[in-house]
Amino acid sequence: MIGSALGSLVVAWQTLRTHKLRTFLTCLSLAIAVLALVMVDAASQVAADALVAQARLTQGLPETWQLDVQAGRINQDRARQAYALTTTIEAPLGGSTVLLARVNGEINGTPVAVTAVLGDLRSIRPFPITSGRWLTQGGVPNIDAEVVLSGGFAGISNGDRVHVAIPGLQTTIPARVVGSVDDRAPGATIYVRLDEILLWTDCSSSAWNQALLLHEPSERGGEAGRVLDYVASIAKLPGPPTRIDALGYTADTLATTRTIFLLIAGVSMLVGVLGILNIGLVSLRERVEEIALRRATGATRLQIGLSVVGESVLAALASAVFAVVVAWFTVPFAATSLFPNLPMIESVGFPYQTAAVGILVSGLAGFLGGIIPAIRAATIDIASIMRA
Amino acid sequence: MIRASGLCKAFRAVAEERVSVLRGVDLAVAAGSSVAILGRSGSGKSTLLSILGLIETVDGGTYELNGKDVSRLSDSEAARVRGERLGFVFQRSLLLPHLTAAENVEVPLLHAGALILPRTRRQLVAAAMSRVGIGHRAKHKPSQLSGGEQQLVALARALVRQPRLILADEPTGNLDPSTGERIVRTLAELPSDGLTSVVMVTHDHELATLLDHRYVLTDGRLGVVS
Repeated sequence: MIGSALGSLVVAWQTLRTHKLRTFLTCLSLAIAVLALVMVDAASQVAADALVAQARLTQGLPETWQLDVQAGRINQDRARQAYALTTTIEAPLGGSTVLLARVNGEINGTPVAVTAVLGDLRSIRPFPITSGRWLTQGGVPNIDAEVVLSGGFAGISNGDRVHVAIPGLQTTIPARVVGSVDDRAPGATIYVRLDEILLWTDCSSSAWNQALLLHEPSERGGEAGRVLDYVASIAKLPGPPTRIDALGYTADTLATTRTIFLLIAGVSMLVGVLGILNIGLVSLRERVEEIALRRATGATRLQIGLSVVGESVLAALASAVFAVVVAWFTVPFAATSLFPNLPMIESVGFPYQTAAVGILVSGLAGFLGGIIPAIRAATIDIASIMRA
Repeated sequence: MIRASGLCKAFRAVAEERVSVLRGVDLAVAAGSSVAILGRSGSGKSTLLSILGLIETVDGGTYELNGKDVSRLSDSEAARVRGERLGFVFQRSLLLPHLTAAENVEVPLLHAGALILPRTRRQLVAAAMSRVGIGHRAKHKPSQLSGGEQQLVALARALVRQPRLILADEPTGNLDPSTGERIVRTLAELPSDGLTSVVMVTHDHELATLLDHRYVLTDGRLGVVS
């Protein structure tokens, strides 16, 4: 049996090797289908990475919850109490707590969104630092506030002294630019330490918008909302807290898109099967005499069938391997071309699992496309051929 | 070697009418002998050869090969016997145009069922091609060979598995007389090893004299040529 199978494979290989155009045509459709399959999967993974990266920067890491704080003197005090309480609860558990106070202001006369931060914001939104450094964590607040820029600020660079204007404040706050980040937010934003802003204003006017953010490690998913709910009840802040990261929604959208594209790749694979079937049946007419000769020289029906289906499977596997190699070289280039401005995609992963599945599915497609010609070849009546 | 008795074969023609081609053929071929079967076109020579080659089944009679009745074998058993014990030479060489001469000769070895290593296959191919004097054309494609050379390659293909019976169906039909004679002389020399037998169908009486025994097929029956 092994001898028969190996002999049939040698015959299949000989036929493929000596009919280059036919082999090429057989391989072409399946190679395109496998290439589409691998590229679609790779592209969807890259797109997922890109969108997730975007979502992480603008909304926060997975399992980030927010408790909004209404403006007003009492609420500002309660917000800072809530921050202290949440930090006390969460710090030992690895959670990150941040109190944000936002207001629309100006810097050197240019409108900006001012975000005052208490806590390590980059542990929740990991902005890449494009120059300089991030805000100092802790320590004595400076009269000259530290400022980190994001977005376009023509003519301002690290080390420059600037003046931040805030609505309701008669004077401007002197500040020093220490770095810049890319927060992916539209428009210009400056980040400052909240304790340094509090030296100038208590942030209680209606122009300010405050929020308490809490991120927990993903393995403790769901706890952050309950902790913030508890903190809100203790600090008498209005609730309820809401989850603000959109990663779940993004993942669902990506999964749907990926499924649609994989279906398209599947249809391409079906077209490939039909192509193999068509070429197999057409070439069979030309090979009737060859098959009769092989039968006359001792080939059984099984061996003839194996050699014909073996041709299709070998061609399909070869085309799939070729497509995977092409994809392997193409994916990084295509990914960086499609998503040139996403610094979070430092290395594009190749979908090895999909590539393996593509090769296996291609082999199966070769089998399906070759089985009917194989059955026809195996059932050829050699006596009638030899009489002709 | 071969003992056939009462072989009958009929084909269905138009309007359900059956045409009897063989009507009780008796034939015995000893090991190490060669036989020519003569007859007019349509007399049933090729049908008889197809039956002896287990390509065609018989309607009646018995056919023994090396003492074993092979007239009622299954399809796969018949294929195995064809591969192991029989070698065919057809009127047309039926070489596969996309393969070299050596690869054409190798064809029966690839269907042997048992695993034959590539090195062994190469040795057997070289031996068969040398035996018929065509070894120097091993790497040529059929289109690069003359008609006589193609037929010699076909003969080497028939010999490569060292069968005990060579069946040749008008092997000189497409060749000029001198080349045809060379082919038949090569065939006629094969039984000199005392093991191989040759049955050749031809309508050429002169070439038939090169073989040990001559029979003529007339009206579906075999008679001895005096």
